[in-house]
Amino acid sequence: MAAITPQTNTEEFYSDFQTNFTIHPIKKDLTRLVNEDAVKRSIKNILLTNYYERRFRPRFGANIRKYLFDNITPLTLRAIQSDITNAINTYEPRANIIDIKVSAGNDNNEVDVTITFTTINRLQPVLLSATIALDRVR
Amino acid sequence: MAANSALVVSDLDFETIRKNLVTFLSSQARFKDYDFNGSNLGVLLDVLSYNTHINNFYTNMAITEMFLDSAQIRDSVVSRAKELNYTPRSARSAVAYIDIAIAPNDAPSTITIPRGATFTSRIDNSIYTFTTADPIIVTASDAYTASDVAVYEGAYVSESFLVNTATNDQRFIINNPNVDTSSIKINIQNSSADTTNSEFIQATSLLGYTSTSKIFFVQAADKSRYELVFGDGIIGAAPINGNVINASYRVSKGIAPNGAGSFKASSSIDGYGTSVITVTTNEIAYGGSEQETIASIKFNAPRHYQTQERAITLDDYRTILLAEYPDIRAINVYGGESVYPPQYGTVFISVDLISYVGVPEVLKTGITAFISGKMPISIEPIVISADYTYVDLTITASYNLNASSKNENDIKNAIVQAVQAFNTEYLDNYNKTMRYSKLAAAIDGADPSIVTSDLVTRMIKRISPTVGSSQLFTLDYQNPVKEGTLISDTFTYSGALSYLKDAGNTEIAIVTSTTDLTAALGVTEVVVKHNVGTINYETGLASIDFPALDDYTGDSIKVYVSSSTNDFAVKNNTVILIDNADINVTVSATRV
Repeated sequence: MAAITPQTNTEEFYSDFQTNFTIHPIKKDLTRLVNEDAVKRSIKNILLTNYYERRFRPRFGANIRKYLFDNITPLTLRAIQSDITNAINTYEPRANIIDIKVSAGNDNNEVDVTITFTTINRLQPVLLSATIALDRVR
Repeated sequence: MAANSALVVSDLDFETIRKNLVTFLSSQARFKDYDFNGSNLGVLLDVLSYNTHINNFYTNMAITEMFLDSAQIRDSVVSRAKELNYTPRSARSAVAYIDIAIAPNDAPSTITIPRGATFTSRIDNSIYTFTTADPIIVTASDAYTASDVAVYEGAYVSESFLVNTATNDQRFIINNPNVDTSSIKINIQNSSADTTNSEFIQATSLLGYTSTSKIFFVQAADKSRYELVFGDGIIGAAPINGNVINASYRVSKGIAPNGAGSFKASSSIDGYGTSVITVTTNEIAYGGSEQETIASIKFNAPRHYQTQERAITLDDYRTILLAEYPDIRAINVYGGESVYPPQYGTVFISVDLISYVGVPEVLKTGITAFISGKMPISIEPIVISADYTYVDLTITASYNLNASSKNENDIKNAIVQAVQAFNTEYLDNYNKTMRYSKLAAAIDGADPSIVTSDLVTRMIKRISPTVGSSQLFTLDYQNPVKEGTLISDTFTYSGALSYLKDAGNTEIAIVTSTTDLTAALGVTEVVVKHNVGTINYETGLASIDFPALDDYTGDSIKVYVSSSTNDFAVKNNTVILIDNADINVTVSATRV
């Protein structure tokens, strides 16, 4: 197994572009997400993707929207937590999950998800909070 | 530039396209998340790969459909064939020939059997409608009987089109894909109000037509349909605005009605009810076929283009006739100079039909008339039926019990299946050679447990003499024959069970077996009638002047000979084949 090189502040291990293709105001180039920010964006993409959304990758995503018509009970929240864990373990090899908290936003048909993780080459935990609205898509 | 920066563009499937994009992106360091499915770059790569895949698929499909060789969709194949001036054959109605006798209770001078008079016939649980193609008038002097009337399967339907010259590219497409295009009749009416009309005839070429010729062409359209095309006023009269085109045609049920043999009138004729109409079948229904298949169009279109509607070479004859007569299973064409005695200036066309044993005289006449117009003058076509040489097989095989859990019957069935497959692959057609070694190998390979086999082959000709009258038969085995091997099935002659046998001196006699208790072998052969025929051992030509027989079993008598050589070939109008009834297999078990 390859040795993991500790990350320094100047090194870029991961780099991605912004979802909305934001232009850098000075360089006039695509702005970038690097390191933990890139991984956070990736995890967020996984959480917001449902099965059959990606062409030729029918099982990609956390598939959380399937709970749309379920009662929000502790059991449901636990199931969502489990799905998120599985999805990140499967599709985001750069993240080591420390903790996942799933809470209900009953009034807004939402679940609030807070994920604490470290990237595989850095020990400092990263916090990702996301609110997933369980709305119909069509 | 990095070594892997070139983007590979030749792959077609999603995964490989994506992999190529990843390889390409790995040459730069600005965006590194191409390996992670959740990243924005991963999403973009999926979209790009999907888009490229779809484009590839579409382009590949579109280009594939542009060529006759590779087109898959019927409409594309038909369109490519149209460029070669080939019209795919439509469904064809089966035809039967019947006598129609009407017994009127009055005494009219004539009775008209109209076009489209219907007769029905049942095959299993299906009832098929047959119709007359043209009106026939019968008179009292004919006893109100029409003989040998062709009735075609399928009811007539009508379709009308209003000509509107204001419409660009107006098309007259016949909506029923099961139309028999040879039955289309067109009448063009002056207008909806003016019913004056004139008949247009179907043309297949431009030759001999002027600007006023009342003709129409049939060409293939989309969705397996056919289209009527009229003249443009330069070649062929052009319909004018407001004309009403009335098309009448038969809708065929394809091959299903072939073999229909019992008919009865299903509608009154000229006011006379079905109870006074008697129908007698002369020829059972044959010749019905489905619309030409994609594979057949691909085969026929380039060859049709090659022949240019003319029969010059032997292949031209085959191509033209196979395209026109879908009921022909096998065909051989050869010059009259190759027959004995030679008939110079003739071309022999031997056909074997799918739905009929032999060739009906009306079909011979039809083929002759059809092909004559495409042949050089001074050459006469002669259409003949196929002659059959059957192969008799006596197979003795032994198999290893230690190598198989099968019994004798299983091995026997395996051998029979192997022989049937051999017959399909190597025989059952014209100009074929029965190869002893290949058949022996097929038998040995029928099952892995077969350790040895012995094969004895003989050639068979079948003759069907009329009981009670003498007849001359010529049996052409077309191969050298071993002396003294001609023998036939038994028949009854002069009250005794007898058979044909040659004595080894070219003479064929009728002999009978008698049990002689004093003889060492117990059975002796007694010649009942000497010299009923001769056989030429070198050419295999036998001539038998059969005297009047009392009786025989089945519908034919088999006459066997052994070939001087292991392999034997047939030519001209002979088809060689193995009938299941002639496969005799004995299997024994052994332990090796």
